Amino acid sequence: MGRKYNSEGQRLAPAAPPATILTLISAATIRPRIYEWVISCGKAPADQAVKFSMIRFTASSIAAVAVTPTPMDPNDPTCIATAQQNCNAGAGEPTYTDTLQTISLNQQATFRWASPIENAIILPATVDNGVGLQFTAVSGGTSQYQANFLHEE
Amino acid sequence: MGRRYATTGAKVSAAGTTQLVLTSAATMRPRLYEVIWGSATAPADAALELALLRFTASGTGTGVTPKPFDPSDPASSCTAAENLTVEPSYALVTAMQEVGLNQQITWRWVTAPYEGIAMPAIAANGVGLKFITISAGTPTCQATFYHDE
Repeated sequence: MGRKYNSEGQRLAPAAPPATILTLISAATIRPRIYEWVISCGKAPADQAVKFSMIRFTASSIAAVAVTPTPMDPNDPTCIATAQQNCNAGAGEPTYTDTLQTISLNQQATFRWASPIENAIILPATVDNGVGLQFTAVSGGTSQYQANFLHEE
Repeated sequence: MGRRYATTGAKVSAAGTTQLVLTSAATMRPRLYEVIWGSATAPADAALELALLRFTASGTGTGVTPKPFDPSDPASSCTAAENLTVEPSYALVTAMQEVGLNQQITWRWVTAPYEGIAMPAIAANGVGLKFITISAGTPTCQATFYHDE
């Protein structure tokens, strides 16, 4: 069993989607597996709907805030994968390819996706490739959302 | 355990129409082990009845390519389609699941590994997600199927 890490990111729901809230970026020496992720909004409740997609990318965002994955076991070494939050829309988005999940969600709901490790989303052992959680549609509002990725490597 | 794939599809809801289908082939027996459904349309208080049904002819829709969970895996042998304009040929008593949902909720169905809905090794046979009824409105709904093969 590999080492487990959590990455946490935040972003305002974009007025003009798409825009990415959180990404996990692989490296040449590992094949990370995302086995759980959570999305929620802690701002004042409003009746809005948002569509999120988990999508593979072949180049990470060029305009995002770096996130350091935190080990679930404090004795584990620093994570080899890296992460980004709050990617800017447009030119700052990762170069996306295959959509792996589409989740439509009311702002007032919290969604958790978890799988047995053998059913997890696998990232390639390729530099700058990974998976991002993107706002793909927003019915209204610009509330701030929080996302967590849990992965093994 | 087989290879795993994700398939996504969307449709404007309408009673008696199908949102997403996954179609088998003669060379394998795919298993549908997870379904996620929701709507990103502006929230409204409407109820929908959805069913997962077996079919023996896959109908006509917009082609969707199942994406591998492991990027090193080959392309899926299954085919898929969203937003069907010609309904599949559903067998008579074949509802694998029937569920009533409010438009504003997100529904996830997932089985234990290896216990998914098995499809036959027969071309053009498979499983579809169909709107049975909707109480009001025409929200666009999104669905994701996960299967192994």
